[in-house]
Amino acid sequence: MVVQFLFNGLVQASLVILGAIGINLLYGVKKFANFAHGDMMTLGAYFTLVFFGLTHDLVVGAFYAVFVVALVGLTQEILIYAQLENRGPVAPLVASIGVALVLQNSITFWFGPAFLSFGIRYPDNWVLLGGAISTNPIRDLVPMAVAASATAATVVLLKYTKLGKAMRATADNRDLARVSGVNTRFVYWMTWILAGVLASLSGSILGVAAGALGPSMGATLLLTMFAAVIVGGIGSTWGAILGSLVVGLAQSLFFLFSLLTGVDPRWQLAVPFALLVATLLVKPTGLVGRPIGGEIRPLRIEIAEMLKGIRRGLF
Amino acid sequence: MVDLTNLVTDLSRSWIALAFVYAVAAIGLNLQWGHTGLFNAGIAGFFAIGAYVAAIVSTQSLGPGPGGPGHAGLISLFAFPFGVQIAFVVGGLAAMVVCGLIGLLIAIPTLRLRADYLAIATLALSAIAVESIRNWDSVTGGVYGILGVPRPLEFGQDIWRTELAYALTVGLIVLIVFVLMERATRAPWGRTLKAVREDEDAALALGKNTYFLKLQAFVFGAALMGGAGALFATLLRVAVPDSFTPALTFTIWTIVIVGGSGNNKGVILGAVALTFLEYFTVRAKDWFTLTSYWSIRIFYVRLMALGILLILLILFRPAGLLPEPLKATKKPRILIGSG
Repeated sequence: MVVQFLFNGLVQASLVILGAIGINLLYGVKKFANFAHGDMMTLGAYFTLVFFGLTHDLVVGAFYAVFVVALVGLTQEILIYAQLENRGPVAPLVASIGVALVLQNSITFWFGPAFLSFGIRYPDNWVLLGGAISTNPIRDLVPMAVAASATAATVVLLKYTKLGKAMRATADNRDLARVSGVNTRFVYWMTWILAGVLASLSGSILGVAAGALGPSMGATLLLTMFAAVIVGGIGSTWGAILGSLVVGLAQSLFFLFSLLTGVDPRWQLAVPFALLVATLLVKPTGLVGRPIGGEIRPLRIEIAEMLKGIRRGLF
Repeated sequence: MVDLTNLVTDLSRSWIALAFVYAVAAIGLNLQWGHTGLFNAGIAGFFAIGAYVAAIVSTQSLGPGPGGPGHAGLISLFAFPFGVQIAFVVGGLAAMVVCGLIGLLIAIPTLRLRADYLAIATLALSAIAVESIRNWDSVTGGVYGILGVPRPLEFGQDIWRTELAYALTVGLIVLIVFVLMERATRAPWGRTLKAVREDEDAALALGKNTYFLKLQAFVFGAALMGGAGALFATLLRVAVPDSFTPALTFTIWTIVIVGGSGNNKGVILGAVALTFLEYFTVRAKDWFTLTSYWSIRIFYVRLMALGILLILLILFRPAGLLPEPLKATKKPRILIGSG
């Protein structure tokens, strides 16, 4: 039974991992947290549905949707984020909240607030490993395969291609990359396209795995994705991968825990939050991340400073 | 012929009172963001916690029944003369204290990090707060919420029970909060906060305890949001988890950015303007003949407009309608012993 829950955790992680890599890439290269990333996933899912309706082929639909979401990402970069280049991390964050509002409500405007569905007929579950795992080939295995191959492709792209090296150089030090002859604007564009592609794929597999599309399907996953990014460590793709696995497995094992102890399983949304806060308390750089925004002082120094302030009087 | 009494009632309930409630939260956010530069993305969570704490303190407890699983109520603690009337005050204060404490707990690990960590942590906090309220049936009544939250100042006579009287009461609270906040931000305390916002290292070099100052600004702002949540529950007379969506957070953010972050007057103006937008979308189908297509979709159009407004403001007018005044202090009116 534990094996089954571990496997479910992997399925859970595969729904989060592509979005988490996208957020992490944007955080590394553009230096801001994209609050609209969940809604880009929703957009991908809905456009998959639209093209599915036109072509009657889900794979082709998901393929076309990738282009739309990548284009939406690129448009955002050109119209909004390129203008906010030197305005610190918060101005683009506020703008991304605006983008999230526009995307989510445009989707609700066109498609209505009700749940839609791809209308897939799921086959019977497969039983693997001598009965240890019961899994659905379409609902569980296809999303896992898509997420794993897209993750592998992204890692190869970042590690071995010229573009990937340029992206990592820009993330490391923008000015140094620029004087070394990296076209940073092109790198920004490609980062947005890559993040858009991953978000769209993620939305499509989320629609397949959940069986239903709603206008807030991506926005509700945003918290889990941020938790994965922070637990793994901001600024490192391996961190996003590792963080997604940790968060997915923790959420799934919480079900096992609630089954054994009788804790209400509806509290599982609190698991990513607890992991997030624990990471910020113990190791703010995450499992493999590098510190961003200067050196971070240990918590006990900060608390000592607070107590000193209280002793001296509030004001 | 428009019925004047009905119009005043409707305006004060759906627009003015709501504007004032949002103004309290927006002043709180202005202290955090406008004056200190702390990004709080969990306003809906603080709102929800404040609303529920106030409602639990001041509302009669109902047992499990057809209306829901029931909720915990502490009103029986106030069984003395006028106890019911002051229960709201106690509830509001309790809401502020609880929200301040929760703000402290979330701020301690995150304030030492870059601004966006705080944003992510507070966003998570608000999601968890609303989810916990939804799940914790025995205390909060679950998805059924808490019904019949009493309003402040509901003394015997009918004149106190009108919507206009309630709106004016909230207006008075806004005025008090505004005056106190203006005093605080003009005082050395507020000016140090601005120094922290502009250049934390410089403030640190001048010997200011910047971490503690940020902590104070965050806690007081969170307490104000909790107070606003308590007012929100009394305005609607119910507390249900579905009213605390991320859209609420974004509305308060737009209010602060439209009005002018760092300027409390601008923030109140922004609250009045944006709640009118909300009022307009609710009432538009009574004023104009809308097809059913548009009367359903006008809410989404409003939120889209909010998003576009937010993007345009951040791109072209980040200072808002009423920019922050350049001088923090006013010249003293009476000059004693000056040449």
